Amino acid sequence: MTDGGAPRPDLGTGPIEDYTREGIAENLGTRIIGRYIRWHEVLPSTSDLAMSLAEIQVPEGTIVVAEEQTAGRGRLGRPWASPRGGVWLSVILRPGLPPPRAPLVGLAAAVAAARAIRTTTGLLARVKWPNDVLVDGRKVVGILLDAGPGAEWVVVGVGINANVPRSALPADAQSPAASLQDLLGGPVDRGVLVRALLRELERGYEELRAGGAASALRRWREMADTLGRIVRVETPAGAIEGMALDVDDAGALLVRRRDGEVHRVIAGDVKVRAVG
Amino acid sequence: MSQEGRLDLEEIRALIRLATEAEITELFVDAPHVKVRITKANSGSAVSGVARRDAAAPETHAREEPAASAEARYVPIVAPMVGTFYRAPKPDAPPFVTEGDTVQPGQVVCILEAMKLFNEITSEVAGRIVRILVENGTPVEYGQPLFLVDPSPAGA
Repeated sequence: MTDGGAPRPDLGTGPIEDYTREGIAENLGTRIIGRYIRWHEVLPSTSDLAMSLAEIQVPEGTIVVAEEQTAGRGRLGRPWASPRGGVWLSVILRPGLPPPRAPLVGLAAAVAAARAIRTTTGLLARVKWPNDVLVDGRKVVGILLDAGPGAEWVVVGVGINANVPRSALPADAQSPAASLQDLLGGPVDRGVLVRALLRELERGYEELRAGGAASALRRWREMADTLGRIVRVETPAGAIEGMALDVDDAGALLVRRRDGEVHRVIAGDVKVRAVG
Repeated sequence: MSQEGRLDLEEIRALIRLATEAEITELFVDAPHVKVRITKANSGSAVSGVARRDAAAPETHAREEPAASAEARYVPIVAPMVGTFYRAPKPDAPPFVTEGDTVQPGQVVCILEAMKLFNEITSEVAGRIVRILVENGTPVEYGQPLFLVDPSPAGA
């Protein structure tokens, strides 16, 4: 289900996708995000390039896309498989938020990715705290943000397992991954998907920047997979297990342990417990 | 509070908001029918955090001592947000800075992670890193000193 205000369905261009720089730019209709597109066949990491570009003051909204990444990265230096067929892109933003509020951009990006997947594929995508996107409990999108000093710039790195063959996905029983192609039984039009993503991201970003942290968080809660469930969070300070109550104004996860103590989690890997 | 003296979810949320906005690490409410303890996940003020780490890591000597005149001029680099402190851009990469290194204004000295956002933290002054106050991979509080920099020309 998508909530109200969904844009008219974008039915794409037919069975052959148009996943090119020109195809994305055409009729994109955004004001900021994607107004400049750098398209690469192969890059080590779109975010690494985007960070360098952010430092030399390229305009906000510039995106860097690669058909394939050779050194895609996840949290804590974990490699992120980024073969051909996926969507690997990074967006340069200058949100003007103080550093403690900058992570809200990541929550908004996860909402945008989940909404884009819902509108283009019909799959019931949900957000896992803080900014993974899951379908049927399997990870289809990973988002990682890098910010410069004072959060003056923020690079949002988005990886979508779109048309990635199952054999190319990481085999990790702890956090299973899936691709949209795998879930749909056929390829998704990445041009349509990325246009939807950029439009949704712009909507969420503008809302957040206009001071709408509360409404950005409301939109996050609507898509959340994590809340109301028993979770185990591996944090730098140790594991916390309990009920995921809510997110606070900064996007931190509030977990109530069995003894009643409520912990505010700002970094960690969340696992939803099988029971509960 | 609700009639039975139990807190409902909204009330707990309000208490958490209160605790979050205040610069405290723990809020304990002990009313006749209600007991609530809210502890921030990354608890520990600058001082207590440093003192705790002292016990575990004898190589750091950051415990509050009467400031020697040399130390009085040291400038702290403080955390602009709550987060996890990383000394290197990647786990297998060399650290941004080590004790004894000279730094320039705007030079990146560490990264703080919150909600999968990795924020580069820079020095605002030129000088020499005389002390690293936090262990790699540990949580830090807003405003917590991370490094001490000796800004004097002799230190640099």
